[in-house]
Amino acid sequence: MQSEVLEIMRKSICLIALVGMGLLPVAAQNRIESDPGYVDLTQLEQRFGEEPTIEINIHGALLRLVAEASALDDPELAALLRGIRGVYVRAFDLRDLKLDEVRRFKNDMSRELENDNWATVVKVRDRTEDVNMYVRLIGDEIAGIVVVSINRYEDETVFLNIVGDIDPEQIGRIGRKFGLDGTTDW
Amino acid sequence: MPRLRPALAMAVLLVIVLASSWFGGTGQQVDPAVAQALQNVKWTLAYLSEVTKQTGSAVRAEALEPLVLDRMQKAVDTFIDN
Repeated sequence: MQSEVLEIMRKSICLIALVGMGLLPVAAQNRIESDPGYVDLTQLEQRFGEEPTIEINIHGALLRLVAEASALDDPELAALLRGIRGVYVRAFDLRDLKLDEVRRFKNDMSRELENDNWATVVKVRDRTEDVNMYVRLIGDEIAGIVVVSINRYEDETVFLNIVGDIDPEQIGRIGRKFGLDGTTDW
Repeated sequence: MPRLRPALAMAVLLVIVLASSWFGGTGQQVDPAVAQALQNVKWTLAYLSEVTKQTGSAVRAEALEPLVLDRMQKAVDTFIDN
């Protein structure tokens, strides 16, 4: 009798573990979307009707692997990445888009972010460039950064979201080590 | 001599295993997907750094919470200095 009870308990534990393992990836995916520093950039393709020229979606296990892969060569980068929960980028060729539509979207997005307690920390508008940077604070920590850039000189618009506790100074210091050219092969 | 063959084969096998683990362990093998993701992360950080550097002199801080202003100002000062 006792052995039967033990067997049932063992099977139950195995079943719970298997169900739990199956649900973990789903739970991880849902967590990033409900993160206060996350902004959904997937709507951009639909809104603009164009494929992005650059698309980056890094979070969860992949981001942890990236942090570990860089630990040996660049411990500072690894430390920064361990505090980040997601990196998302969409870039579009402005020549494929209607500039007015992009500007309208940027203004709509700006309004939505500000209504959602994001603070505008950088706002630049000149002849060739239109850049907004937003930061969302939860308590004393930065939960996320969003950058929206329309660069008419380079015919490019970029939407960027980094989720996690980010030190902008650290990003600046580390980011300067990497070049925009030659660091990636699109 | 034939009696030594199994021992010899085992020794050769041991040498192969040890050599492969030694040489395999010294060169860090990174999955191509992880390597690509690392490149993408570096590009993103470089882009963010560049944008903030370019716009640093034109920062307009309006009614920002003191902490945001303080942290961003430090970052912008660093960018401008460099």
